[in-house]
Amino acid sequence: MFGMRRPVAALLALASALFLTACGHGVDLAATAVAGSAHAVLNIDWGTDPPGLNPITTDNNVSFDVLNQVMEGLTRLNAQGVPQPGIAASWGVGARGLTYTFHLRHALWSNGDPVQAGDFVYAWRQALDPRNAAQDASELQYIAGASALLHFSLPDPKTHPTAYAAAGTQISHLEAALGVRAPNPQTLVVTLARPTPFWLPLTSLPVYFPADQSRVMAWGMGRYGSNPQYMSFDGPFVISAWVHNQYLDLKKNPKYWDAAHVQLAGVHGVMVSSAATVDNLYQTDQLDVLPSIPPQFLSEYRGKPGFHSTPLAQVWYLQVNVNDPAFKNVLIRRAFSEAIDRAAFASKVVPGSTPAYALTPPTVDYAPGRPFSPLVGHVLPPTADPALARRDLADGLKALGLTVLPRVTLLLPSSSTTDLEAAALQGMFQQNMGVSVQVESVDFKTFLQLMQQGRYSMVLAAWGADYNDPTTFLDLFTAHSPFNTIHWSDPAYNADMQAAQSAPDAARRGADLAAAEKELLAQLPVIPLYWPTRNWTEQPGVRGIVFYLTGPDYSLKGVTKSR
Amino acid sequence: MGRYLLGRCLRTLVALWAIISLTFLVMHLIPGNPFLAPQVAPAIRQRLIVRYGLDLPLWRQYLLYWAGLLRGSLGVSMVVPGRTVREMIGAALPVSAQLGAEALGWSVTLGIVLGLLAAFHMNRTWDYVALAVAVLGLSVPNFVIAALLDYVFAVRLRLLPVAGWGGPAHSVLPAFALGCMSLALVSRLVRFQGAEVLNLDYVRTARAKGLPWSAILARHVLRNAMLPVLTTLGPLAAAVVVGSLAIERIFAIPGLGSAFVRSILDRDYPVILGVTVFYACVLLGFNFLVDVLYGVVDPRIRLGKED
Repeated sequence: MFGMRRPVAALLALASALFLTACGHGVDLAATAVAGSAHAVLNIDWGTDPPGLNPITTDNNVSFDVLNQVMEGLTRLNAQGVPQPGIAASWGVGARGLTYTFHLRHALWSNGDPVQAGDFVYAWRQALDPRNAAQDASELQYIAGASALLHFSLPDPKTHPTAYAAAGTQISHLEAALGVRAPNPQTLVVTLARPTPFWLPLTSLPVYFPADQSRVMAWGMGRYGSNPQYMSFDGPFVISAWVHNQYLDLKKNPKYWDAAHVQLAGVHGVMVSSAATVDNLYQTDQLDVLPSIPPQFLSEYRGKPGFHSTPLAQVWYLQVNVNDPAFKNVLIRRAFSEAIDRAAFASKVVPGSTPAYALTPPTVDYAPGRPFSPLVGHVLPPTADPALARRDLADGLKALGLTVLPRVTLLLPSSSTTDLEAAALQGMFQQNMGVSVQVESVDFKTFLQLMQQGRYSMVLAAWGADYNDPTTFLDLFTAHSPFNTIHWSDPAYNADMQAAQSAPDAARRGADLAAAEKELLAQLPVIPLYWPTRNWTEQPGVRGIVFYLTGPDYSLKGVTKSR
Repeated sequence: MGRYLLGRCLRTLVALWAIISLTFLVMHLIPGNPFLAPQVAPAIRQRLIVRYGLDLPLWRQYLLYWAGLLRGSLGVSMVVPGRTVREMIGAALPVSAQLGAEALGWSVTLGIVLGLLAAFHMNRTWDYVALAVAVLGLSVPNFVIAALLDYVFAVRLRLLPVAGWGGPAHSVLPAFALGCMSLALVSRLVRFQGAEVLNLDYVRTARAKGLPWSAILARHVLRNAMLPVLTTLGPLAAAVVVGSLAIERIFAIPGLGSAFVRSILDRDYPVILGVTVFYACVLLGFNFLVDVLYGVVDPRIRLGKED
């Protein structure tokens, strides 16, 4: 096809490139890109371009990070994760813990409209409306009547257009029956399906944000959040500029109810994904905060002023395929757990992390102010026990009637850090047990697909808390969980989880959940590895950024910058 | 001539059809879909799959895509709600074009100068300098050069921006890093061709009859030495486009390459197809133009004796 014609084609290509350059309306970013000079403008990196800023439908982390600065729900979490009054000035809880009455303050949208209780009712109904397919809607499941909407089976409009149209009426009825009401513009009454001790902090999440009803209805759900002109803000900042894949800037929202406590004039947020480039930008003072220092640059920052290391509510583990011919045997699962030197792993492979001695991270509470971890105790040893591992492996094989272990594959999403972790695990299994494991490192979507199809023996995976309660981890393994991808079902475990749900008090509930976790750690359908930490740093003169354990990563509301 | 043009036109269209069809098929063969995410409940994921028509049999999705394409629509992104593929390409194209043109511009110019210097000073200092430059340019990957340049000029000396796009200073380092390989290639080609020409009798004659070096250079050496450069410009332009992926990432440049890579990782089908269709149209369009020009130049083709 190309043969001898290249010279001419190439010249044409070059000419067209030059022509396009001459005609291109390039935006000159020099003025905004020269960061770190303007007074009280914080320079940060969003990481990537947020794929849309519709708080109702998005589930993207970058979108959450942006939205948390420009929007506010009923509450906003403080550094300890305790809900503080947001758009709600105060609230009361009914005697049985089912009804919450929120008293809204006289807050305004950035366009001057009042934020009313109806804006919450509208937003939550939209999030649960099956026709909007809101990706984070599961967070609303605790509200009475939400479950019917979440599990509503929506007819396919392509094949059953009449049934789809008819479903609209049904959905409207279900939405009307949802446990959220606005008796007057300043009062919001929420009824939960059952007492949920961890529910209140969830009201700070993006999917619980209000929506400026009249505007959003005029724009349409599809356009809402696609562009700052199709957004109303009720948070500390508003979006002042958004150039896709380049920068997204914020400026202080003068209409925000607590504007007196917002010190920054604005935020300049670039979109840089390369870890090395982010490091260079920080080293040259063009970034004021690194919310997450890439592991390969950790040693550069550790011990320097501004460096912080705070625990996260996440756990990394090996998910075992309990339908695998070998791993269906618990002794073999135990053998693999015993062959792991968690202390060495945490100190050498993932510096700064804590070796996991259970599944639920120590940052998680089973009731406000009551940590869950002590109830479970140190179940998994920090070091490997090669002799025990070999014995359990041999016993397990004998029980299965096998002489050799079938091929073991370790599936993982490829990245510089996960590849390193897989190599370390491979080495430990080889050295401590004489088992050679085949590592399959693939891109994230392929990883998710293979995992869903059960095409693995072991998976290197992680889970982060959606809310501050052990059930955010333990629910994953119950029979009814939509996220239970391992198809592990254990009667004792399910019974403990069931008991916890109907426990009369917090202490009883904590004990039931701890019993469930101990059962899980005895059966090991997942083998916990480590609990990661957030390693972050801020420039001298910058302070006040609040990091969260759940939901969006941080709040910039109270940040001050004195340089 | 009319029949010839018609034949070429048909060929181009068939090639375009084949490229789109193959991309469509291969893209759906890779595991995963745009809505596969660990935190999205299966019921909600299914709703999204239905909404975007990914539940339909592949052949129907394929026909629907063509129906849209024939109406002139490249579709809407499945990952960025409401953003059209046309918008995304429109935003990234000027950036990629500018970067590529700058990289090729400086590297080809300097490559010719360096090659000629080496040819004139064979086996002397300039020749060795050119050789060293060529070996470095060819053997060190452009992302290593980019990282090194960024560290020295942006982080240490603070002469140029670390990353970003917009001002004239922003493209200096990426265009330099991107052009290193073409500099090496072009300088070598010119050096060898130039050295050969310099040894030819007619150059010696020209020199003997007192023609100044500048005239020899312009009239004899440069013209001959340029021929292989022209031949390689095509592959070079392609290499510059492909090679810009890593550069775009390091310097956070919002170009077409990064949009393409992101769309593949996200399985954003309409964007993958849109960018592929765009690339294909540009390449095939140029080929078609070349075919037409060949027809104009070569009378035999006009008479209908193709190939």
